Amino acid sequence: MKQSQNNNIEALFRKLLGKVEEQPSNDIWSKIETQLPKNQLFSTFTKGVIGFGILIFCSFSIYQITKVEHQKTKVNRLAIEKQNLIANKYNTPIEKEKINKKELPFTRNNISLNEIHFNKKEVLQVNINRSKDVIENLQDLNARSTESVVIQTQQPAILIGNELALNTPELKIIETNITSRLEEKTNIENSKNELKVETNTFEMDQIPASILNPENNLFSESEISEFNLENNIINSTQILETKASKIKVEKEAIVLKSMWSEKEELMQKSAGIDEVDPLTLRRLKNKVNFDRVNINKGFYVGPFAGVNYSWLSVSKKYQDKEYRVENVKYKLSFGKTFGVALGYDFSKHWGVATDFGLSTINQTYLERPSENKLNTRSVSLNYWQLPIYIKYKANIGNRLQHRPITVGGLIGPQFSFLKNQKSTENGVDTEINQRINEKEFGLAGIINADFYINKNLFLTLGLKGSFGTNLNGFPKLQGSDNKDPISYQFGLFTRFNFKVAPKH
Amino acid sequence: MQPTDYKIELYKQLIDGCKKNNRDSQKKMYDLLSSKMFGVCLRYVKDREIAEDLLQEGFVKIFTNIEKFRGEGSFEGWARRIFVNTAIEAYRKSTKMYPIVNLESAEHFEGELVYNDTLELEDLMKLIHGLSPGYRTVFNLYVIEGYSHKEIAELLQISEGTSKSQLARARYLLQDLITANEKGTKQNEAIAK
Repeated sequence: MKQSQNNNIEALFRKLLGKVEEQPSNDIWSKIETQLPKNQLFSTFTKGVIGFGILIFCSFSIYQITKVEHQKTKVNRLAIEKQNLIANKYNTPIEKEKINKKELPFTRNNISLNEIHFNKKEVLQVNINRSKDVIENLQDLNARSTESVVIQTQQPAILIGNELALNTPELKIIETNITSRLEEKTNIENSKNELKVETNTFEMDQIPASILNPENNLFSESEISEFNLENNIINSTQILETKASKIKVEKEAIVLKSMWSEKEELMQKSAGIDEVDPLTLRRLKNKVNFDRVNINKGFYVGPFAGVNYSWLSVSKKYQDKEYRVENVKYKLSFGKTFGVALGYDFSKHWGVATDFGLSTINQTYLERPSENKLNTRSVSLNYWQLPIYIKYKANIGNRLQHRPITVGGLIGPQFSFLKNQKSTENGVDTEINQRINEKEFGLAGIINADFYINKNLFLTLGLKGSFGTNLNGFPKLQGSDNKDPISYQFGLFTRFNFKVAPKH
Repeated sequence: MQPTDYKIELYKQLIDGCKKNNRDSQKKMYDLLSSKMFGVCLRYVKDREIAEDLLQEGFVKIFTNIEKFRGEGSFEGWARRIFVNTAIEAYRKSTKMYPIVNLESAEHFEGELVYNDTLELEDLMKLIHGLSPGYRTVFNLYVIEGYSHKEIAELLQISEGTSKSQLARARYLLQDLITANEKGTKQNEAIAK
């Protein structure tokens, strides 16, 4: 056979078939068009950013909402603390001395008043355990020219002097005001009319013995004799006026459950407790609500979610003369993570924690397997991750000045188990089982801050970084003979935690 | 502007449009590439209708994955690889029922294929369609696309040895087909005389 007739057919195939063109049917485009996505408003990355933004926004909103709720609710301890502060602020030394000397029996009465509403719009509500607290509130209001105050009680009550007498079951309504004070401070005639003192009467023999008992030094016999005992009836106003004149109390109170609706207008005019120095109030609230033990110790659990930048190195097992891992370019790829965290803080500074969740490692490679070829390979791996951390944390700032914030660092080993994987080469699905680790072992670390909403809830924002390689190949990680791919992740996360503190 | 520059600029504009999911750009891109890519598909499958399915699938992949094209290398080359991979994917699915086996016992045809120079494109298409899908795919990947046996092994989920033996067998069969084709031609010429 002549040399010219003996040709390399492979070259011919390459030459002719490599450039073959053929016109497809006319309806192909219309079929393609039906499968193409409609215009999307947002890219996947944008959706991710928006999603994370919504997550942060929701977390912040919860934080703010609970902050308002926190302001709305005050427990007894807070009320007591607050009233003591007010007393210190507004009482003159002489008045304070008088109050201190008068350790009346009613102050030991454990029957609680229901609520004191300073203002209908006022968010703060106060529970009172001691009659003394009421008086201090009144002094506070008085100092700020309060026109009226309604005190709701579970029990009928009477104001005698600057002390509130509780457990007087026959009293139905006693409404008082210091009209003289009002006359000095206001010229609103309507208000004055509405604030007329109403008095009820009750049977003398139904007055608690404690009120009339001379041993309590509440009233002397001579004082009692001054009361109008005609027909065995005593006018409460007389008691009030008598006692008031003696200790020069300037204000009286209105007492009863059912008066709330009738006094709306007046209550709106009353002063708000939020006029008190906000820093002081915050300090008191924090002292009551953020018990030190709660912050320092306890179990916590909560869901977390985040985004991360991931990097998955190419397996060196693939390296040969043409395919050099050094020539592979890595494209910035983001993944997501979510799961549940669990931890236990066993001291002020130390604790243990874990966060079990699903984490996505995305990686896009630009490969050049040979000189004339360029591949775009995208890999998406979903791993179940289980890190076990040792935790160190510290409180920052003054717990009483603001809501507690703790900052901390966590570090520990992390196990990862491949759940599923997807890989495409130039957009076409491929199998990459030999390129990835089904089980990984590595290290994970976190730097985070915990923002306490109340003693049982806190929000965590943090940064997490981790790396891992083949569980079996981990000992070789430092060695040059390690050919397994190594995965790296670094990202942001947020977590909403529920905490249970140990009993103390 | 040189014709080459014009083509580059055209591709650039169309790619930008396709990335924005612009239907007009996608249609123009289709018009530009469809006949070439259909040729690629026809090399891997004998049946024209199946080749059109591959063409359709490939273009959908191109348009939905065009974000991944980074502009490094030619777009046409990138698109061609997508069609090759689509064809391989279809082939892989079909081989789940009939997996490729390692033909260790098959004759290894290590020599070069020879032919007389009367072979034309149509003949080559017939020849390649005369091969079974497995041989055809390996032959196409190795000879036309320039993949290594290692890459072919990964793409087809077979061993490198299997890829080599498939190629050898394909060459052997092709030589048979060429010889038979030449004999037929000579007989026809003799009859004509």
